[in-house]
Amino acid sequence: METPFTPSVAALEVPARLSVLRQASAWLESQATGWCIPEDIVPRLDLCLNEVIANCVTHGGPEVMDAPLELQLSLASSHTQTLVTLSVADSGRAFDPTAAAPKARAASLADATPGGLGLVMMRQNASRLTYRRTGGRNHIDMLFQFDKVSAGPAGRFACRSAHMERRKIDLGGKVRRSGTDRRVRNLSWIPLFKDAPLQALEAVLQTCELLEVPAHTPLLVPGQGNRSVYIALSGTVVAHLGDQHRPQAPVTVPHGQCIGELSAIDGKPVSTLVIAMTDARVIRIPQEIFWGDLMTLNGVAENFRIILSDRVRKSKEQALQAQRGQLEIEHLTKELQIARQLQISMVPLQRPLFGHRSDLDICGFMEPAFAVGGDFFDAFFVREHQLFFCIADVSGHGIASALFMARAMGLIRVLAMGTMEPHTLLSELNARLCDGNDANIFVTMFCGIVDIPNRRVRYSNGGHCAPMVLHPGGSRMLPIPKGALVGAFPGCRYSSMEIQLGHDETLFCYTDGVTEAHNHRGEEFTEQRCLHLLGGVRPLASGDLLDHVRAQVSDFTETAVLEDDCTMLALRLPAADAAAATRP
Amino acid sequence: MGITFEDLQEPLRWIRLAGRLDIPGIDAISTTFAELSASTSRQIVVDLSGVDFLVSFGIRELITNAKIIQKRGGRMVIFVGGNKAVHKTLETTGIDTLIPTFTEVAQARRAALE
Repeated sequence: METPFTPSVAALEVPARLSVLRQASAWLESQATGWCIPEDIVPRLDLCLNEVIANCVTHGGPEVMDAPLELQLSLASSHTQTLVTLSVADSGRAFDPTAAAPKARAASLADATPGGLGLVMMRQNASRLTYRRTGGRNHIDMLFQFDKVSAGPAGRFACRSAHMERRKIDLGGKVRRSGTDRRVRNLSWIPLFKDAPLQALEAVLQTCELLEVPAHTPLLVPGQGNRSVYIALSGTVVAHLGDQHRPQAPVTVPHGQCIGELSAIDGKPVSTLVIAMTDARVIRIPQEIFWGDLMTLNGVAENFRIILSDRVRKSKEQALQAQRGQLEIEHLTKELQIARQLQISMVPLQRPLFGHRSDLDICGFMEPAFAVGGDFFDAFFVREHQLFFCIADVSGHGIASALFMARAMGLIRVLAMGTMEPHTLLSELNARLCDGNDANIFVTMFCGIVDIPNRRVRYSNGGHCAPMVLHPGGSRMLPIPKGALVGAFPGCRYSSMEIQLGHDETLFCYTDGVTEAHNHRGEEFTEQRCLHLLGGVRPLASGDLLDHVRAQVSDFTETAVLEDDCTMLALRLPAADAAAATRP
Repeated sequence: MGITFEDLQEPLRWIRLAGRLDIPGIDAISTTFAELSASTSRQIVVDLSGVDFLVSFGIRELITNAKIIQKRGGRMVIFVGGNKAVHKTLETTGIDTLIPTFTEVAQARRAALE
């Protein structure tokens, strides 16, 4: 018994803004109710819709605003199964959610980083996720497959509905037309029919159907029975291999290739979702005609044997390739995790950093945007009362930047012990990093030496953003000496400057990941906004100040996920009694 | 989206969130939630039994506040009651392993005060 689908489609365009979320949800609920989609499926659809829109808007960059989001909900039912596809298209930056590594579970609350869960939740709620990038737009399809509960008034609320048209194959005409019709009339290009006697083939095919399949209509649904073999003649028909736990990129079925022959051979349920992504024209050959009539034609059985052999060979190659790829990914993921742990362990993240000193309150914060980043900071005593500190941003991201960072940190620790002048350290560091720097990686860096008893901070700068001096009566940018970025140009000269840090002042250093964080409108957080926000904050312990800034950046960007590494360092020289009062 | 609270025996505070915890819902309660949960060093029970929709941004809000509370020496636990949908979301995302989650009132109160 054939199981025809009755597809319906509804569409909505909305501006790419978070403020449309409730409108989009209301539209979805209205469609779902009209189509009698079960109550337990609707929240899953709604959740995925919310997550994907939030993701587009917050991570799509300014270009996501260039065109509206296109939402499409389609429903196709057989006698036993329903398939709902929720599609969202946006003009934002290319992002393939199916290729993104799942967020690793945190071992403890202290290790947990907010964000990154939207994708996890989408994967858990949709039966399948697919992604394509076409026409400069991201297209995400979320498929929900479930047992049919009751036949709803499909199409009643639909903005447009589509039905699969079936007609007999007309091969008898004398006139040869161009394009697809010509391909229908002359089927000898199909590998299965190669060298088959033409008249007999036409006689058999005239008992088959030619289907006009609308876009987003499934031909084969996993778990269902199938009693036909299909051959795509036009349009884009794709097969989704893998399963919901290990989804693979959809494979386009070449025109003329058989579809569904395996389930038609062994009678077992379909294992692969095959769906028309665009309007398509497909021949349906019923199982009994395929075996009873078609296979008896000269050459067809031999063609079929070759097709099957080729299919098995390709499947084996793909399985081996997938296995190799998976092993490589697992290995690289482990390596990256180790690299990240190593990198984090190099930076002094303890709070407070030097808890035994009541005359010093220094604290750092580092949050790489990628598995491993290029930012770092350091602080250590070079003499009993003299503290060296630095904050730096290595160009690029990933392993190369992380290795450069490790090299720079090692050199800094050695060089700092032998100098009293920050600019001397920068000059020497520049010379060492330029040597053999074939990858042309460089680092921007602000560094200083604090003479704690005298409250003097002597500092130098190599192309890094100017720190801020926070004061209850008004904050200001720290004047910085000119100095080029470090590691790029041999022979660079640097100079030092000096300030005296008041009891109630905080030196706040940061990387550009903080001030250049941008919201979905493309606006940057900026130094001015940071300065203004921190100017109005009551004196805080260094750690609390950094948490406050991080929270403000998240509020501004409306996302917890960073696009660039975010690193900060705050330094105070409190009076001993004040330190005890503000330290958590 | 609604937010109410009740201070039970010192230092236990019971914060009830109700309605749709989507991004507009979070925007509506975020500041109040942060003030109620992190303004003082308290043990907090966040009651999600009346939440009928929870997106990842809502979970982010819970984690952010739980971390701040923990840093200030407090503790956050979650009470879901019979809200199976929210409970399942917390389980599948692993949040219940980071913020203890309970279906019984007495268990939640006890755990918050541990």
